[in-house]
Amino acid sequence: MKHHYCFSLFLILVMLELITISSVAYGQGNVLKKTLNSSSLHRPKASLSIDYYHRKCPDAEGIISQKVSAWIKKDPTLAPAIIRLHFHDCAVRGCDGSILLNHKGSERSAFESRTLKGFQLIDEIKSELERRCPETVSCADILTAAARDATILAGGPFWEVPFGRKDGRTSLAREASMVPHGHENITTLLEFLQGIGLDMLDLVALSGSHTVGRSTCHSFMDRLYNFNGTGKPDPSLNVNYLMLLRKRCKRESDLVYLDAITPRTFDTTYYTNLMRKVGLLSTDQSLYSDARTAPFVEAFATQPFLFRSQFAVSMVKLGNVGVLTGSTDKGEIRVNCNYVNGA
Amino acid sequence: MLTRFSTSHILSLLFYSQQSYHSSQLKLEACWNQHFLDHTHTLVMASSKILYHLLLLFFVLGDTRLYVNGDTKLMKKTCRHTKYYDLCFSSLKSDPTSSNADPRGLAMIMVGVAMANATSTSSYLSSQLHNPATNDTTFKRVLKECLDKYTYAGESLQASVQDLADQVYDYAYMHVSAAKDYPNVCHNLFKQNPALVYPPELARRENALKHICDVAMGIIDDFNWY
Repeated sequence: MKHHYCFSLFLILVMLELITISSVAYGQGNVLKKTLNSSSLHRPKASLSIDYYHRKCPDAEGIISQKVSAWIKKDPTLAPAIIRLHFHDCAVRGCDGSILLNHKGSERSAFESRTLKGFQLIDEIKSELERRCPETVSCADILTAAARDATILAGGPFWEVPFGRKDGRTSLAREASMVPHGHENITTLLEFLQGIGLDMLDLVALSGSHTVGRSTCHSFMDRLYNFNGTGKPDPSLNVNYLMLLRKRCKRESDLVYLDAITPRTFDTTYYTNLMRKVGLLSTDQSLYSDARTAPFVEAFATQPFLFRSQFAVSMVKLGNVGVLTGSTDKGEIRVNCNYVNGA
Repeated sequence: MLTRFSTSHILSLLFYSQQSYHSSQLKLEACWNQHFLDHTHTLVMASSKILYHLLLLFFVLGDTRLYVNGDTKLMKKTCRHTKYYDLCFSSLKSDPTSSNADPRGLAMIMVGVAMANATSTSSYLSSQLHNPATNDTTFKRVLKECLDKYTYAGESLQASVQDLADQVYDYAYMHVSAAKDYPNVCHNLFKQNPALVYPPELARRENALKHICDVAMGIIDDFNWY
């Protein structure tokens, strides 16, 4: 009699424990969902999740963050470079690490990709992660997380990165020309972004990454001497800035700050520059001269908090473009980011 | 060499030299008395005394005058290339370090003057914002916007000083140019809200900042960075 009593008591206790544990776990999940919704982050794709590596490779984000930090401390110009590398990946065939493939005729080998950098950093992160969690963390995920970490180190906002991307197997040099190069008009830019699921607000917000970083003179040389075949400089370029650029651009490969006023600070000076005709690229300046995008430029110029939160939202949207997930999408976990597995 | 010694140094030097002068004068008198007639002796003594006092006067007064003449030459030359000569010269002259400054130093002084204006205007706007008498919400919003712009102007000028120190003159010019533009945004906000009155004090400060920036840009422009 006593035994039965004890046993049933034991069962009840076990049940209670299980209920408590599951409810706590469920509650935490709910809180997470609530934070996501309240901070109005774009809902991650059905198969991407923030906790994707929590059981498979819990140290993944930490390792990526630590490596990115160490490299950028030694070379701060890597921060804008990694942000740009991530954009180039997502702009062509989605965020599938295709830009990282290093074979003859790959995107990376194209003329448009010649000034991309940050590949060695990604390689080092990949080696470390392969040691720690073999064949688990994709190159596409590494690059996406690295872009987030680089943004923070440059002084930008934080956002949670959803993970679970697989790496693609195709990378074609001719597709690299799809990426905006700085001479397009706003209509072309909008069409391109709409094609990958981003809108006008994203265009203006993501262009704000030009508050840091540099560009080669090649991207805007036409504005200095012979704009649109007129034989004259671009009239929407501030005269004093024109003199500065002519002096600094002796060769097409010379580098110039994208933000002339606060070149290494992640702020809204990029937008206030546009309002004073001190945008560097033609596409930068067009954001203000075009009536559709000008209101967004003005909004960001006067509201730094708005810019920071929208930038984070747009970066998450960018990171979700064309992702490969699961076996149906023919993605893989590349063991070496430079080569397709088994190649 | 003159600049190394202050007036007091020279005065004390002359005082002590006067002592030795008088003793040597006495010796000279004795010598003259021995060999020459009285009236020539007096003439020589008188003229040497006059000469001595003239020298004293020269060193005392001429010290400061030589001081100023030699060093305002550069200031005058520099200011001649700017849009507002009088503003330029008076601003530079009132700075104690200007007499020893090279063209780059003069540029830094001028940018410093601009910074002082931008900073004090920011303080003025801040006090207006926190003034309990200001209760119009639109006016407050515009004031806050203006405060931000004058703060940016100050920061841009600070960057310009650093550029000058690093001898990066084209960016120094750009930074002053930006500082000159920021007040326009503030003024435009008032234009967009006709119901609001653009405070005369702010208008005065805006004008001053733009003129000072023009002068600074004129000085930097001279450095032939293009």
